[in-house]
Amino acid sequence: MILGIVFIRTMIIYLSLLVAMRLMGKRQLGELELSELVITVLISDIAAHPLQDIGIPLMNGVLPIIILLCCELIISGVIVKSSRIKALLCGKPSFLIIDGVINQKEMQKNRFTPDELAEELRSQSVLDISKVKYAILETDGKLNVVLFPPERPLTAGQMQIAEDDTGFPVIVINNGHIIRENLSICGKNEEWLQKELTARKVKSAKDVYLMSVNGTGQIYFAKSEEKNET
Amino acid sequence: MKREYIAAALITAIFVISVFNTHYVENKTRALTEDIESAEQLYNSGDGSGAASIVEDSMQKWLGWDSYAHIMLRHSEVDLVTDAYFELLSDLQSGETVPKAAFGKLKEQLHSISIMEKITIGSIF
Repeated sequence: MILGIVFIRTMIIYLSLLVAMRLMGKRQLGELELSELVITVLISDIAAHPLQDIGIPLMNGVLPIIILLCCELIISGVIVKSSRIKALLCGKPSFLIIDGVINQKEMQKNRFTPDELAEELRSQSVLDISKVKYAILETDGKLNVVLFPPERPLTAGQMQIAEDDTGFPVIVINNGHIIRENLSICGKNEEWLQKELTARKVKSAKDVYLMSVNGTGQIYFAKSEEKNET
Repeated sequence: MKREYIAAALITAIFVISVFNTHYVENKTRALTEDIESAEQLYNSGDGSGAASIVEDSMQKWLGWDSYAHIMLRHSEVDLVTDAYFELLSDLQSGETVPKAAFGKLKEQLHSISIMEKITIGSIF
């Protein structure tokens, strides 16, 4: 009976967490702002207690999750509306390097050590600080580096090379499944798809691992190895 | 902004429900404590069976409230009250002398639940 209770409670907490994180948006999955980090840490801790101890009412776990979710939704809504409150809650981006010179005051303010800065720069393939025009510590803790114009990678535009825009590749067959919505997005139909499969000596979409089409009609095709082996 | 309004409404509703729950638990435990007090008075005046009958009725009320109590209150506290009810009733029905502490224990357990739910500076910090 206790196992059944644990199972149901775990499922309820899991689903509540899933819904909460889904409602908080995708940002929660990547870089976290301060308020988001606080809520993520809190929620994961709160959710664990009623799971470990069935003597604690499930409400003690679910209710705080709902309250934190509401707080997060309200705060993120207010942040979008007011840049002042955003600055107050999330802080402001800090310029750690300006024109190749380290801003030591900002470094100290952000508890950033020189070796941490060098490490961050190395992770972005920058070895010489004097080549950095700006290094900006964003509010989510990510360091963005802008090099001096002569140090920036050359683009096709600067080289005046005409580069064809191939458009965005759309997946039409994913692991044997035809994605009909994507087929119509790229202006194709199943008749066209069947013709392309026949041209590649494939009977049906089930034998295809991946097939995508880009804006110029270029096709990427990968036959399923699993089907070929059997 | 719709999402934020819903969140604000939900958080307000949760707060209102929490306050309601506090009052509800307080009233419920007060009523049950009054039952036990009147049972104690009856027992002290020599009516043991009358006292047992009141405690039994009170216990039925408590058990009827069991689901709500288990959802909203700490399970160990709920179980302590249930145990104290059974203990007191068993003492009264046995016909032996019931110690004053048996009534006191049940009243104390009910009071403890009421106190636990109260919003005070002490309970918050």
